[in-house]
Amino acid sequence: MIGKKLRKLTFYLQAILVFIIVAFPIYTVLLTSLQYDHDIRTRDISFIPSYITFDHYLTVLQPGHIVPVLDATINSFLVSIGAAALVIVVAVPAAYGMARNRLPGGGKILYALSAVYVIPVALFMIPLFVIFVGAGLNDTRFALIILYTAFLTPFIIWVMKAFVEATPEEVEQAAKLDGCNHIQLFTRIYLPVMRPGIAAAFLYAFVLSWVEFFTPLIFTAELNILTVALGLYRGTIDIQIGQLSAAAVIAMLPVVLLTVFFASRITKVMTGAETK
Amino acid sequence: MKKIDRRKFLKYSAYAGVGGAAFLYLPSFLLTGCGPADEPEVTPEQLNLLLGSHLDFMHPWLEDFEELHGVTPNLSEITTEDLRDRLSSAFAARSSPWDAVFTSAEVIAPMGAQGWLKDLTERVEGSHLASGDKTLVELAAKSGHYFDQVVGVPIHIGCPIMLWNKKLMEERDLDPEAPSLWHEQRNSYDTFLEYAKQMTFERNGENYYGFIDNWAGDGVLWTYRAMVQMHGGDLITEDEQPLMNSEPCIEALEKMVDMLHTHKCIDPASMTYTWVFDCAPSFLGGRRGVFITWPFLIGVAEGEDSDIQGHVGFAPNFSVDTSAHADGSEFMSIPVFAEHEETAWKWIEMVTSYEYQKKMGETTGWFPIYEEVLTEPTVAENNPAAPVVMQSYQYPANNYITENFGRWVDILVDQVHRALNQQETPRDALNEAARRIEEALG
Amino acid sequence: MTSPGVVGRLWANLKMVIAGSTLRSKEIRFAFFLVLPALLIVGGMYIYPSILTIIFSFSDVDFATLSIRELVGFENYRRLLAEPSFRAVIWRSLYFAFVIVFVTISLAFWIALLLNQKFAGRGIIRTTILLPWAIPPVVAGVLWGQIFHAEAGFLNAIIYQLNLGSGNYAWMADTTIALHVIMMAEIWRFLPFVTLFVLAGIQNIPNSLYDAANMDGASKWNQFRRITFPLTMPVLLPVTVVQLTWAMKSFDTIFVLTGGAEGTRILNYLVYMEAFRYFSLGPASAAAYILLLLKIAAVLIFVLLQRRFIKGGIAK
Repeated sequence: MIGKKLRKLTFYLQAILVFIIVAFPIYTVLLTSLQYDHDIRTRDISFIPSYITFDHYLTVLQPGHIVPVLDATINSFLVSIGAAALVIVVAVPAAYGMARNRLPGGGKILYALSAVYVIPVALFMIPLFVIFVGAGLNDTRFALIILYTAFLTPFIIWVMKAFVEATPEEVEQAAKLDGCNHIQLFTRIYLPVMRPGIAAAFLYAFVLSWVEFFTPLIFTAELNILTVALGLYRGTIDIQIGQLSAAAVIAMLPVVLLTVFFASRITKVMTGAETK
Repeated sequence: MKKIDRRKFLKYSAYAGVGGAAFLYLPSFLLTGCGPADEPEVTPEQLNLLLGSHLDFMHPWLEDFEELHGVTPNLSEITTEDLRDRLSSAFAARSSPWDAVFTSAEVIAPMGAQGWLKDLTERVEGSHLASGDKTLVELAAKSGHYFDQVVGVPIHIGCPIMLWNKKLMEERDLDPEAPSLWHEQRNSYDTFLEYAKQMTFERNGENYYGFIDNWAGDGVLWTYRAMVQMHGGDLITEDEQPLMNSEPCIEALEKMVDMLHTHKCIDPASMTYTWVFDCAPSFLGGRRGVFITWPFLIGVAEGEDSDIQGHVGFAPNFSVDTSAHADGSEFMSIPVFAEHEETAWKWIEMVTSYEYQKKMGETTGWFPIYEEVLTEPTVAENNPAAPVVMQSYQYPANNYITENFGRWVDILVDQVHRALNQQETPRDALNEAARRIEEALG
Repeated sequence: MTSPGVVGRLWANLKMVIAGSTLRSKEIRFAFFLVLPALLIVGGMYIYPSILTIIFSFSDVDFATLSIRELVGFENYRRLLAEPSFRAVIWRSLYFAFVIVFVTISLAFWIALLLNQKFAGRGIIRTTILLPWAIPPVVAGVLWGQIFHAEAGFLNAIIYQLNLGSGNYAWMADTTIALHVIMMAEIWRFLPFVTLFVLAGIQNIPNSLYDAANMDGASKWNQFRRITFPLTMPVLLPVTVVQLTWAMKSFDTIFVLTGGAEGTRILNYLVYMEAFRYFSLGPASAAAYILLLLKIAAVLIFVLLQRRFIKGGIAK
């Protein structure tokens, strides 16, 4: 009896430990955004706040503020949605095409595409930059969308391919017997089954675009992409840690909300994908 | 069941919404710029400015410019940290959205070497800057040169000076006025060291240190450069022969290492501080003795939030053979790819005019570029550090702008840190620096 | 597989695909069009720069005009590899990546095993686990910097308030500690992704195996070693590969936390410095390709290790 209780206790202790490790940094952001700078920057900070202030949020959201958090958030949002959508449009059919040897050599093509991940991004930047400027596309959302799409596609193909291959062959056989041609096989049979995977992939792509830093640093003259804007805080006249944290919380909000909303869906999807 | 249906519904309506919106707005949406303004039409006269976020005193001047020239300046702001990357990526694409950009020595060196900044020598020589009756502070203006080309026109000058906590000195039975004379006294560094040691102690679980500085990253060079020149040495020649393994440079580094590890009179956290605002809290809290930093901090230290209000001393740096400092002036440059050079020059002429420099000196904490203006009584009244800055510039202040500035500076910083971390002796570290630089640039 | 034979077969296939009307060739044509957009976008973005950078790595490049001044053969590579500081960066990058991957996987297993059981509050933990990836690396960097800040850091505050010390140790002053702080930030960021995959892998293992093991009296640890771990391997492989390449690409956190100070510099950061600080595209490209080779080597090591593990594990 004691053994069982002890095990339960250690179990819960572990769960709490995990929670603290993961959540502590997030909590510190939250706390810093709600306290005045000079109170946070001492050794005597109270981890359970004695007061809360929304001053930082108000300052940060002012239109004239040097760091355009609102504009940046909107821009980031549009670009991320655009990129995620484009990636899905491009990667899902490609994954279907490459799975189960539909296209001979498809697997090899995928490896070749994935090769882009091993080459450091910094080196792509300059030639691509020159091309984009030449095409008059520099500093446009389109440029970022296309760049992110190109970068995310191989990874998303990998993920979606697993989904396609997780569908039992019998389903395909049965459909063919029923007289499905190829197009219908894709649209009527596979796509619906892949939907949860598509949703998860969309979310992945969105988040990965959202947190990009280096690319917009180089490709936008106006620093109106969120993560780059956040970088501005470390350099303004006084590192306004409170304002940075407030901006960071605002930045995190969309993604956190999405994640929470889809959390169980994501885990189900990941588990489901592996069911052979 | 209902829960799932609701989720599906939300999801599908979201898709529909996004899809519909995208379809309707796709063309304009895709090509819209990420910045607040769309592609500007090319009008004959325009002024696109890139200013530092700290140069907000220039904002009212934008309106003045508009009145004067009928052109509305288009302002972009950036922080000094991001300046170099931003300029590099724009110039690498052989374009420049800005007609005039603010620059500093560390940006002027690489940009000048690449030939990305317009040579303004002739313009300067034909203007009030050279032919007027006021003299530019020479050593400050020098940082705007790439060899003999003027690629940056100074808009304000500045250098780190020595600040100290008078109250702490009195507490420790030290003369709070003595440091004002250190710059004139040979080897006053030794006196400074004694003072610093006296001001290093512990009280009520709090640590007090006699000296604080920002030695992390490139920041360490502000002080190291000064110390080298205090010993009468130089770091590198114009054609990039390394001199850092010469005796003066080694002695300078040894002093810094001793401060940290032998005498322990400098806040060890200085090795983690990258700029002034990392050091400020403890200094303003009264727990540090001496701080070599930018003069504007004086204003902050005399402000309400500071514990040392009314007890701030400031003077040019202490000296060994001589006093010295690094130059931190800022400039305006015209990129080679700028589209509106004439208007950019008009802006530069305006902000460097005697009238505006005087205004700047009288109403802000920034220092005018002309000796005569810097020493005007009204300016000194507004900014008591102005005469001190003027004095500082009597002493050496070389920034060593050379062709491969970025590379040798990084190597030097690496090696200086190795010495400060006691991974190598100063002599070995600097010898290695010289060797690496010769290898890399040979 | 003689050359004429292969070519002949390819040609036959091609003819069949283009002109054929069999079910299979229709299928292939359809699949081809499905794959085409991906090929165009990814290929278009990356083929030109990739080829260009290989050529650059063998040349002396003029940054301002992006043109090649002259070909210098292996000179760029030789110069880089001759410098002890560069070799140190290589070792550091490998250490950095492998330790991050190792720790992340260990932590992921621990967390996944916890999450695999039903318990009160499981939903909360599961949601919390996903959060770190919502935080942009820039912010994560500043945050972890704040935690370890000398005067005002949270860690020091905790130490001070728990009376474990004076609470003003300058953690980040020591570059080794700084390096590990950066690694901590990266591990924290990668945790959600890896944990999810590991959890998926674990949940795939049929319970019957565990029941059988229990009846045989196997200990928990043995069960983990012989059932859980080996059978999660297939999932683990792509995850570790992806994670390795991500870890070696780490940039944003370093940029923000230490600005690339020497003790924290990894190869990817050095590529950025060569390209954007020194405007030397030749050495930058060479360094980039060395990094590429490193990544391939690291991945191969992992794949080989895995093969051995699976063989060993299955033969239980």
